[in-house]
Amino acid sequence: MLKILSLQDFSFPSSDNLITASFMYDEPVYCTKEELQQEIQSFATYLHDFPVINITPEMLATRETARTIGARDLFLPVQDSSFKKIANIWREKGLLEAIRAAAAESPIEITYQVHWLATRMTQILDVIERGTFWSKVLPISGFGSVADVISTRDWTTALIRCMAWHPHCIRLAIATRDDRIRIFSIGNIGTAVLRHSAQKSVCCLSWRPNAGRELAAACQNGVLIWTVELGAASNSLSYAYTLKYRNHAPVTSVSWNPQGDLLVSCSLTDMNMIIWDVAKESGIPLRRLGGGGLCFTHWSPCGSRLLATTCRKIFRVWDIGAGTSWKSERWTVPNGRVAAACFGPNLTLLFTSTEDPSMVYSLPLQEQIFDVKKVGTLDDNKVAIPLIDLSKVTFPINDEDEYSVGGRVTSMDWDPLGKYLAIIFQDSSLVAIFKTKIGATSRITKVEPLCFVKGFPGEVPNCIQFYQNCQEGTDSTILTIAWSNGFIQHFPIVDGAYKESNLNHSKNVGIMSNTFSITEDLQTSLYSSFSYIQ
Amino acid sequence: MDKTADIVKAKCKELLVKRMFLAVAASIIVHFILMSGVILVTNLKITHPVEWIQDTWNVITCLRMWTYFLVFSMVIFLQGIICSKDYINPISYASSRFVKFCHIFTMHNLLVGSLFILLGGILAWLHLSVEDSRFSSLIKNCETLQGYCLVEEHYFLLLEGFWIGFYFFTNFSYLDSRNLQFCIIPRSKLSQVKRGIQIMITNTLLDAVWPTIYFLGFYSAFGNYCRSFFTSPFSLSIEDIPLDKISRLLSLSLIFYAWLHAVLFVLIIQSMHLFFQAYLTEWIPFVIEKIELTEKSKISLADALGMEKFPILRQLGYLDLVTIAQKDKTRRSILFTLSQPGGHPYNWNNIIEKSLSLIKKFSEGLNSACSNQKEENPKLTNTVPISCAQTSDKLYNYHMRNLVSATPTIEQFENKLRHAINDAQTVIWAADAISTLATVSLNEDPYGIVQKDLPEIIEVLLNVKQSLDKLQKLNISIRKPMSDDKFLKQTLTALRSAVRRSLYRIVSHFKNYIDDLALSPLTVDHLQPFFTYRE
Repeated sequence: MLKILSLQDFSFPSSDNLITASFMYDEPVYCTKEELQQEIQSFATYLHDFPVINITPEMLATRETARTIGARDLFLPVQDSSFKKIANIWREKGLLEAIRAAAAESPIEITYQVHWLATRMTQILDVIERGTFWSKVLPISGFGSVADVISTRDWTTALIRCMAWHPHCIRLAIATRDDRIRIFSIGNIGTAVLRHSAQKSVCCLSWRPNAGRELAAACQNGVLIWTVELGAASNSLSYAYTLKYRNHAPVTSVSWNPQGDLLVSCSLTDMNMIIWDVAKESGIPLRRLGGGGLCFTHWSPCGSRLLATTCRKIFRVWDIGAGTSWKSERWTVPNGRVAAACFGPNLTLLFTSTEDPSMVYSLPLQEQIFDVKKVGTLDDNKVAIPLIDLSKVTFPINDEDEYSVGGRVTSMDWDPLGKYLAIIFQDSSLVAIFKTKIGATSRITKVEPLCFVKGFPGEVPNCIQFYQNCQEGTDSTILTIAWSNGFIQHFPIVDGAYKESNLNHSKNVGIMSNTFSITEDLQTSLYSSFSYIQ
Repeated sequence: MDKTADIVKAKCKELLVKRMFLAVAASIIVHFILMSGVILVTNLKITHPVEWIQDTWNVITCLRMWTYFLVFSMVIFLQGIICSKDYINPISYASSRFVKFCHIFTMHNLLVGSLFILLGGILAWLHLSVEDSRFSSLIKNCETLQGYCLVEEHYFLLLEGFWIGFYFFTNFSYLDSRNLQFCIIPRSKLSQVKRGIQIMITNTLLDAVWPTIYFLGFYSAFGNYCRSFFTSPFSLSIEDIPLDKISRLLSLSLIFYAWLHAVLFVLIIQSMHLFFQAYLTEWIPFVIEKIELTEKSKISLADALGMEKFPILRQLGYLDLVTIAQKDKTRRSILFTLSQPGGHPYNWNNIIEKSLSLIKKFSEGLNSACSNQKEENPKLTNTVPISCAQTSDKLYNYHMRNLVSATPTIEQFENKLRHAINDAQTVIWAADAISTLATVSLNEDPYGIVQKDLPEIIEVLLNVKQSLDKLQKLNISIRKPMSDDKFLKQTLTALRSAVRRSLYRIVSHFKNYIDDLALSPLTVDHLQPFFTYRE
């Protein structure tokens, strides 16, 4: 009989003013705000290279601080004649831009006739552009708005809008509300601050795999590709260029493929997802009918699948194939749209929809050619299996107050090794962490509750991501949580299995071993028997 | 040995010829559809839609149309066959613009040129005779005079057809449009062509404007001579006002037809290029194991990788190699097997040897381009301090001479670079493929055959990286910056990131074993920025 894990199975800390500092050897460690620094010392071995980050509202740029010295200020301004300027623009950006530039010049400089002609032509161009650039007006807030689909809670007001760990090293990019991106590196060698005139409303960041310093940012008008110069002294040496495509704005998601040669971007207003050849600055649109604009895309860790979710019920899993063209597999959720999704090892996909009550489903995508029992039944491994019930539950703290957790999911992240799953919700101040185990055939063989992470009183988590470069065989996993007050918490989860015996393990409160289907039995028994021999 | 090489070559040629034949056939079909569309538009009768469709149908299905079209497709076919040579042969090196200009006057090019001109003329003739308009024939019975009269519009459009052929021949042959671009992701041929035509169509509408204007200008000036050139030998007369009068020449329908023919001509030529591109760049899974060659066996991967005579086939080989490395586990496992009997890793050796030598040759090419430039540079700067104030005249002369001579060397350098860069896509794939194979070998190579080549792979990749870095530095230091060649810049960027990507891939997987690889201390030094991810 299939039993689905629910949030009720978690145990909850009783005291209100304690925060969760870490998870050590099978139990969460709580402490007060004052004790936190001291507590961090105790797990310093796991975090000694991690940058200490605390973004305060005072750090954000205001209009006055926005003007600091840039590369442009280091050189004397050159006074060119207007015609020379226009000719330069013609040469570099084409005739249309030149006409616009001419219209913007003062009429005395370029004679009244030319100016008149240029302004008229600009007006005509504007009209044509308005006709051809089909733009859909997005709601500013609520269902279907940019803030609604992004995996950051309260994106419009949050201090930290999104963050991204580098896939290979300790390097964290954080986009803040003032449209700056800050890069924090190993051992605090000084923060690089990236700013660009096109960098507005950053929705998503993605470091290029197999590269050191390249970062893609999804912005209001297109995708910015940064080459980051590390260290604080070189802020003006970092440079970026924009990738734009017609009707492809605002860009809500960017993701590099694990090989690091392709970049995929998508936009709420565009049914195409664009596959970019970044060096050539050219993109190929890929589209399938149905579903409207795209919300986000995710690559599987092996790079053979790409998930693309739409604003409606449909989501697609693209099979990259070997040398043949990409094929998409169409899936639907019963109601709403996909709220969050993540890939784990062995091509396991977890997703949850916006419908109520919400539920995490797992979808094994690996072809199971040796699954003997599959023969005869029609493709029954390609079924999304309900995994965790996320219905809202409340935990009373004292007589008046209670903590509620569950409901609509904002973001969900699985650590690269597939050991832990973290979820944040739209109306809960807790981060729920689950312990998971995946079989070799891309099925989840075990899910159990690990703990809730609670922040300082009144704080809510804005976004989460696991540290990406965890080596196999180490006992710690680090979850990075951006809290609403700008504090970045590196939450270490240290596996108890290394320290304590299995016997101890079994007395833990909420263990829930889920065996999902009868066909699973053969495999689980096979694999577990191997592990017993070891 | 020679015999096997010949068989391989013949097989490659057979494969390519088959693909090109399909490309030409597809472009003929597309042109037929295009032409039907044009007939549909020019026959437009909004008030009688049924009649309109019926008329168009009648025109398309009548025998005359088919006979004419047969002639036309013959010319397209010939054109395709002759142009295909440009696609499969290596691109020749031209050191300067003048040499490039001279290259136009080869036998092959002249043949292509005359076919272009012929095609332009036939296109105009076909459309004029099939479409139901006032100028559908060249000669008509005079109404007011005795004998036959010339329909000058027909004559004008026919001449314009020839002119368009000539105009676009000079345009295309000089600009080297025979460059096959591989798509970054595998796509179906149909979607490639569809998208290509979508992008092309707006440009084409604009491209066709200029030759039409040129020809209008030409005809208004020399129309008289052109006319008498044709009318006098056949003793034809002219009834209407001659066409070189501006008032008649600026007739809207005439200009529209002239422009339409130019548009169609560019569409044919460019869609043919698109079809060639779509068909020739289609991925082929080669066989990995090299087997004894017989007439029936297929081309092996190693053969394809070494095929210098047909660069396109070599590119396909590397495309397949990178596909195997990144996406195809089962074929990858064949690479890591040993031969039976014997137990030698022939499959792997064949491939790694060819890939490494390609990359080495490429970095040598880059280095030689750079070193030429370097030799020139000191000459410019070193001699300046020697010249003293007393020889200011000489100095002045010297500088003047430098000003004159500096440009050709930079041009030469750029041309050399541009020629070296022709291999860029292949090198990118080779680097990606061997680095990916090296990383997967950690788990998938049961005999450890990749290990022995790992130090060499790292060194070769580092060498290219250094050559590319040198080039970038040189680029900054040259007085006149690199000319505004977008393609060159983008290719260099792509190369740089591909080589870095490959090195990162190896470093991040072999970080813990780097001491066991027995690399030279200098190499480890050069790898340092990769360990800290600061490159």
